[in-house]
Amino acid sequence: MAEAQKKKDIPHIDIYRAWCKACGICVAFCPTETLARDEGGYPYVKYPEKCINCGWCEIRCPDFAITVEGKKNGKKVRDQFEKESPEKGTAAPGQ
Amino acid sequence: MAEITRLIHEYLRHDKKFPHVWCPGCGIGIMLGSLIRAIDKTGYSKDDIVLVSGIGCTGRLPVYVDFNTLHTTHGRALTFATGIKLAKPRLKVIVIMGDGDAVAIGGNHFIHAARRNIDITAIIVNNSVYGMTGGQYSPTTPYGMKSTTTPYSNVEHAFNISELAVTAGAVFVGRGTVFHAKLLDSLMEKAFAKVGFSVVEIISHCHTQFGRLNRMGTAVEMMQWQRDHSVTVEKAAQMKTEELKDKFKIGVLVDRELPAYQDEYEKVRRWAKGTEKR
Amino acid sequence: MKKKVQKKELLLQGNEAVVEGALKAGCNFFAGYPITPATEISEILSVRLPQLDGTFIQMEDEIASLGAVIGASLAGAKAMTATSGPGFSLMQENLGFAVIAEVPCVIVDAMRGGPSTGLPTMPSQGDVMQARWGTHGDHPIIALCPSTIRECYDLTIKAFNYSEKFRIPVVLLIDEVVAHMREKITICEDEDVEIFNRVKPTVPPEWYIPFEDTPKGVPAMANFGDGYRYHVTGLTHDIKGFPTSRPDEIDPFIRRLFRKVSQNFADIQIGEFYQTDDADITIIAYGCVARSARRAAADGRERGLKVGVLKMNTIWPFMRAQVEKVLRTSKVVIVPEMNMGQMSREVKRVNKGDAKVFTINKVDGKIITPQEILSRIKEVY
Repeated sequence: MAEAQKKKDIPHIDIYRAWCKACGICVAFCPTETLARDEGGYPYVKYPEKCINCGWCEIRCPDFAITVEGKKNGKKVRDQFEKESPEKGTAAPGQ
Repeated sequence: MAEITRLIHEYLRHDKKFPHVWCPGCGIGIMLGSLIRAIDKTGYSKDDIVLVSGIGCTGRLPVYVDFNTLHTTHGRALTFATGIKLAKPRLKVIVIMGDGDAVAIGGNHFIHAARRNIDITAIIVNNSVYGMTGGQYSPTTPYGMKSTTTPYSNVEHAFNISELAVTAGAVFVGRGTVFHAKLLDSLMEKAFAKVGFSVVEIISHCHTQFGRLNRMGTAVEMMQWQRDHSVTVEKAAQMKTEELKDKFKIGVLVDRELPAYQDEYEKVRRWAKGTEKR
Repeated sequence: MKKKVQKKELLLQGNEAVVEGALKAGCNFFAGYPITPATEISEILSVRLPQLDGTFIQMEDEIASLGAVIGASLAGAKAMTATSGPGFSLMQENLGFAVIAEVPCVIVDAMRGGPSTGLPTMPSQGDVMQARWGTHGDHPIIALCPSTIRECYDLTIKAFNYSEKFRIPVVLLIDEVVAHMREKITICEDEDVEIFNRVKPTVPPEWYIPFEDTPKGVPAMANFGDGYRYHVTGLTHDIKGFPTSRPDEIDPFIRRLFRKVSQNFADIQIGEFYQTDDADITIIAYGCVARSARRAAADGRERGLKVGVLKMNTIWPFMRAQVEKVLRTSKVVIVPEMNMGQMSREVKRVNKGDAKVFTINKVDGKIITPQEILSRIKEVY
């Protein structure tokens, strides 16, 4: 029961392979190493539970090929993360 | 699908071929996302937005978005935009250019559009090179860098696009990088809200040409370079000159008030008709 | 409601008549750059356009001028620019854009001696071929050439009409003589002048095909901001306006551009035959030289020579049918031109051999006189 509840709160990451060009940007700048690259260089969600729903992979994807659907808890983590960032954009993850 | 991407899809032309034409990891795609989000915030309907571009990698951008779109001749985008704005001032006119487009072949148009203070937003993607033609040096290629036409090393000095815009009279000038994509959103939002000639310079990367020739690595590595070499305007104010030596400023560089051309020309019309004394 | 008859008798310069014609046609946007001998057009429109809620702007160069004109036209304005040879050279780039993107606009080129800076204050007819082939690539073009002040007025209106009707840039080739010469013309305010405005789409936006291949060859044109969002590009495009590299889309597109002009030759080609029916000698002339030609013909007739004149008002598309007609009926055809033989080349090209074609080429910055034409006639006939 507790396990199921936890899973529901993990943000949902969708990778649209048809548009992805495997540039590696989303993986390289993921602050929690949620994402990793497969043998072809394409991203996949390696540790879904690590995602803090910061959304940077979605914002930085040049091909609109990755989306993060925030869940209740995830949003809370993200808000906290953004609050800690002194300035919009500049104190980005990966810095 | 998450909200951000859903919003972007609202503005894409889905009858066009995706994935788009740009190389894997190209900053133009990131900038396109910022552009769409910022346009959405303006509240303008798609019918009232005109997106004008010139030639080059950036020139291919308008075809993907569902506005009134115009792909002009090389360097001349601002001149077409001037005509559109003056003929129908209610339209929001946005011009997308590359560095070669804006300050080489279109350099004269750029400084004069700024001087005239016509209500247009110029978004310039600066990747320091002519990417589409295969990596020739541009007016923003730094001294000492290689390109396919400076095989030994570039001995010309680069233009600073933002400073040029400030000097020429633009009322809003902002600079960002594609690494700082959220900053781009806010710079574009501010530029679109400004009445008069506004400029957003976007430091981007061309890993395919410029990066390869100068051993700067992948798109990721070039974005890390952007992160490591940029300083916010606020932070730069507290830094010493020598600390800023290999850095560039990002953020709002100028935000000032000057009457826009079309408002001034309204006065000319009143003087001409005699409804107001000069 | 009966309109008041307002007759205006005006003593106008060619450039001034162009302005009157443009305003009559509904011109509400002008972008230009100062250049002799076309500057008067700019100066007068800078006064008149703001009075009429129009827009005048002086751009940074001629490239920018035509760029702004095309932009304004896309947004729905009736737009014009005016220049002379050196500026016309700079405009060739965007002239090609207006052709491929099918944007109506009018370009006045007051021809002066060239090449390069050449003879800024002296006439020439050296831009005939530049008007035809100045911009790169295969393309159709319409170029008109007045020889009187009345024609400056009428042909400017026609230039706007053709540009709107066929979605094509129209070049008005005036020469320095006609641009600066003064004549009296009468303009009736209520005159029934046909003014043609571009055909707008009537279908809902989602049905609109901006570069559709219609039987007439001219697709309906939506203005930016009218709710029809579409793409305009200088790249060769498909019927929707998007760039294409498919041979089966490229070929019909380029051929349609030509077809929309070629199937309307009868409408576009304007000229006048003066006493050509019985003429042994026909002078084919245009611009200021057509004036000398008519005088030469009259003088020739007095001396018993059967001289006629074909005056061309349409320079491009080449008035082949009319020229062929005089080539068939005359023994001698004379083509006097203030260039080294740009139009005579075309005349010779279509000559089947019934007539002998002779040229008079004058490139010293002076107008060809009736006496010079007459002595050439005596020389060859």
